[in-house]
Amino acid sequence: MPNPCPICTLDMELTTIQQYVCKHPHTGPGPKIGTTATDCPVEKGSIWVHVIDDDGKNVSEIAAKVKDTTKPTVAGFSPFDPLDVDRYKVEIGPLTPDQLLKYFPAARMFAENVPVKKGEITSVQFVLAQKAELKVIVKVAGEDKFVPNIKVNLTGPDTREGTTVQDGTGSAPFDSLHKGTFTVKVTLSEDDKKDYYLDDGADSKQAVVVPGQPNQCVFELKPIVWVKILIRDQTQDAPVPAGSIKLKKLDATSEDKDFPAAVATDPVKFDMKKQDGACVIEQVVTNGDDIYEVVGVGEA
Amino acid sequence: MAASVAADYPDRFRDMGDAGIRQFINRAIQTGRQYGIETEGAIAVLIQLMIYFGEQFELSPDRDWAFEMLAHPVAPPVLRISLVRDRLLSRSQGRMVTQFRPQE
Repeated sequence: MPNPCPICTLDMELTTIQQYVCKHPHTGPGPKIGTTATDCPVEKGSIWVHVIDDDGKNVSEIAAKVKDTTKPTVAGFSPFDPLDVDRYKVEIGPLTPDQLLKYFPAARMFAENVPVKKGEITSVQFVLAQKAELKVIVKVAGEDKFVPNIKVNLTGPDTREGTTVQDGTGSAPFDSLHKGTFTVKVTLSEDDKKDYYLDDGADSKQAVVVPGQPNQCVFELKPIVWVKILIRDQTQDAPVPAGSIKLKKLDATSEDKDFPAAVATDPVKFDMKKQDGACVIEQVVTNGDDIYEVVGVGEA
Repeated sequence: MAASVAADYPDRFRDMGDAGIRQFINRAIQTGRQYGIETEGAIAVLIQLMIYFGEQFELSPDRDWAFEMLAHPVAPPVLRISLVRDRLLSRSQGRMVTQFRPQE
């Protein structure tokens, strides 16, 4: 018999009703407010197992068990109906391998002594935290060159340690993370420090990790370039004796760098990192207490 | 309205007190207003459904459908709330849903 929808006039589908509803006009614990009086509710109780993720979204296909019956959740719900008034143990899981890729098992995968009351539905809710992933990428600034073997530390909802891999992506992959904000810190090895540096404070970043998203956190290393400082005796065209060069850095610290003696025709060639270029050459002092002028700085 | 709600659902409102019940009803009125549901009868249905299935119908498998129906652009408000009531109560067979958390 056609049952047209009052809105679109197409035939409506019959909803699934597993029990008959009492239509007799006797009183009961049913709705009474204003115009909301409806059929008397069924006498039996029920348990609706409800599984959601930590975003509040319904999770399907999770096995739910009450008494000896196991049913998967559909759109987050698995109804066990009808049930006698009593107390029941409700379980979910075990999660399938596919589900374990997406969710952490709940802290408690069961609930004991769940009460079922006459004419009521008891909703038992389980929350599964979603798993998320984060890729930490370390690359050379301005280049498509990725840097392997960089130590990476995560702190936040989870604490993890990793290393960028040598697969051409320079990434340290982290999976099975809880969602949230992580502090990501990279640490350069002594060898790496010879070739790269990070700006002050740039060794840590905040990364927001969202389930289902390809979360990435990129660190850019600046390459260290060596420059050459040439020192020569302008007044006498004489050999430059060995000595040292005093560098005053921007942080007001000073550093002395020694250089060897040079012959008259060949000025002192003095290599230093461009990273140190953020400094002023204060003084060039030789063993003979002579002061020399710096006549040239060029990239090595 | 507050008195009848408290009288009909004493368990649900035992701890809320009179002020809590009034706040609950005000929230129901606000929710109804969002969907153009403003008559006393329609608000009464909405209150009943919020008592039965949670303020966001979060205890009903038909929550998403219900909000889609409430926001239907053509159907009149009374019809919309009536269809929502029919669907939600049909699923629960007229029974109220009480939440139980595993850690309780």
